[in-house]
Amino acid sequence: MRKEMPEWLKKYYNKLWMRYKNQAFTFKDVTKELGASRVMTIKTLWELEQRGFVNKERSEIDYRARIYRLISPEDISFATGLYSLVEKEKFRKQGLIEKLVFINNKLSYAITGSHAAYYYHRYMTPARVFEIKIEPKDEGKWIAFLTDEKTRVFIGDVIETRKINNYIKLLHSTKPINSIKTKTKEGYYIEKPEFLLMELLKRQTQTSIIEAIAIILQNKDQLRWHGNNGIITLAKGLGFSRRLGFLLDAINFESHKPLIETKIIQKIKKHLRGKSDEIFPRDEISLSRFRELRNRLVHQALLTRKEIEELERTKERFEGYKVLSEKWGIQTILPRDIVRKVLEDLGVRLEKN
Amino acid sequence: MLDLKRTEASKTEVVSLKDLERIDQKAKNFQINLILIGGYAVRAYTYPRSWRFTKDVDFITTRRKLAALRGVFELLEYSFEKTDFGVKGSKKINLESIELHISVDKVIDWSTNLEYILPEDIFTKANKINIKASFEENKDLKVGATVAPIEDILIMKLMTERTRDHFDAIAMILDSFKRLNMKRFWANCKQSNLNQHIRKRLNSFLADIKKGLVKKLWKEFTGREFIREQEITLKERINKLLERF
Repeated sequence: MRKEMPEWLKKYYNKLWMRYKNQAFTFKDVTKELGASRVMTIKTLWELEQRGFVNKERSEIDYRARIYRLISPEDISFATGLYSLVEKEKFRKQGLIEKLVFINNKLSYAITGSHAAYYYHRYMTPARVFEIKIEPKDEGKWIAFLTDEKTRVFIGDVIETRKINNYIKLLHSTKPINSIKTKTKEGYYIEKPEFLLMELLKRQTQTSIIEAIAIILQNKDQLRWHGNNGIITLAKGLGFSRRLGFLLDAINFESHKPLIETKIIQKIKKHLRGKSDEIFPRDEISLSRFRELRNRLVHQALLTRKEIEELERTKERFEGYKVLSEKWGIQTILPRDIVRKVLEDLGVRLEKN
Repeated sequence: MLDLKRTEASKTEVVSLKDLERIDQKAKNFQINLILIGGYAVRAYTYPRSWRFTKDVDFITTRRKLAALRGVFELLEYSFEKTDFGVKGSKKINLESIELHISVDKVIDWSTNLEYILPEDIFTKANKINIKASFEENKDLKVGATVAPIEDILIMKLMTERTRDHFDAIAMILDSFKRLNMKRFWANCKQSNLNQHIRKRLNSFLADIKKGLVKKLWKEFTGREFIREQEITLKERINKLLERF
């Protein structure tokens, strides 16, 4: 784990810092500022990137171009200071979780997304990208601390295409981290399940919905439903009551029993009035497939009877929860098989479809 | 503090992979036709990237061997339950559990109710492949298993409506297209009367590439970018597949 810089790199870092501070710069800027060759510019940026002393992002103007921002000397000192507390060999062997345990309360954070969800549901194994919610002011410290030979850290999109063990995506938390985090028995922090559920409902992809259902099923008796930071209030505050209520109802509908207490669902429903123009889930992939289907069905004259029947069947799949959609005043395009599969996999006995 | 025990999930992966290997070996000892499908098969065909993370084990077999399988389940401490599609079992490891599914004679898809009838040659064409662990802590662990041919795995993934399966199919086309026997692929689709369905699915992938939906799908399941070269390769390969329809 290399954090120390050779003299030539220090000189280049200082020169760039004097010129750009926290401002963004491009590859061309580095070549110009350092008066270096293309090869030397690549080497400089690579060496800084490997140490976590520069952040690489996609340019907002040109999708293909990369922009760089230096990590401040203070943030670098913070990370190197932490590293100096531990023997080099031990740090080399540390995995990401061990590093997070080590950082403890020195920086506020909470693991979120699929990895946090997996902690609660133990159902669908998450992908390799770790998402961590942090305070925006700590961004540089995190990049400098977490980056190592096995780990790359990104703000926003993960733009690394090389194979590496850990990809970390840092997310700015809209709420104070201390209010959303909880310590696991292993000693690292993850997002509380109630807040995580809101995050998953916000994302509303097929994966996030499956994860939300699995968390609810596996933890329904431990989840905090009522009170200030309870699920019902959080969902109301974020405008997610309809999707939450619908999802809970769908779970009960498929299981043919009140797995989720009816009074919880009634409480969510109580403050809702009229209809919303919301489509749930607003997952772009499902939405696009559904719209395409609807468009094709509009032009039935161009289709054979068999094709129409097939399209109708697929449309029915999307519209399997018509009654519940009516009840919650939203248009739902969540296929029943998605909900039923999670329930079945997690041991809920289902009636025949 | 630094000497943390391995996470539960990585320990479950070790058990899951070792069980997979033992089942594979036992099946051989009992002369049972049993081959791997599902997430681990996808991992086998997407090596070295191995996008697919799973702990559950999915197999296929032929009906006449069903009774002998019970012993294998019991030996490995899995529950044994007959279902509409075959048998399933489950094994608890602390908070985690490993689900074991064995489909008999055919694979039924929940999302479309379509069936894929196992072709006669599926067991003879199966490949012995090393499956590597995905957790960093288990990086030295790999087990050998008999995996269904890529053509069949790809059909199983393309026949469904689930986006996760579509991601798996795209990953396999990108990583193992050279292994794919296109003639066998279409012949097997036809045998299950899935050829039109699969053709439409492949065409919808081409449309999804244009609309940028494949990029989104890729990001949802890998958290990473779907780069231009991958897009071009995927398009070329799907077109090649469609040409052989």
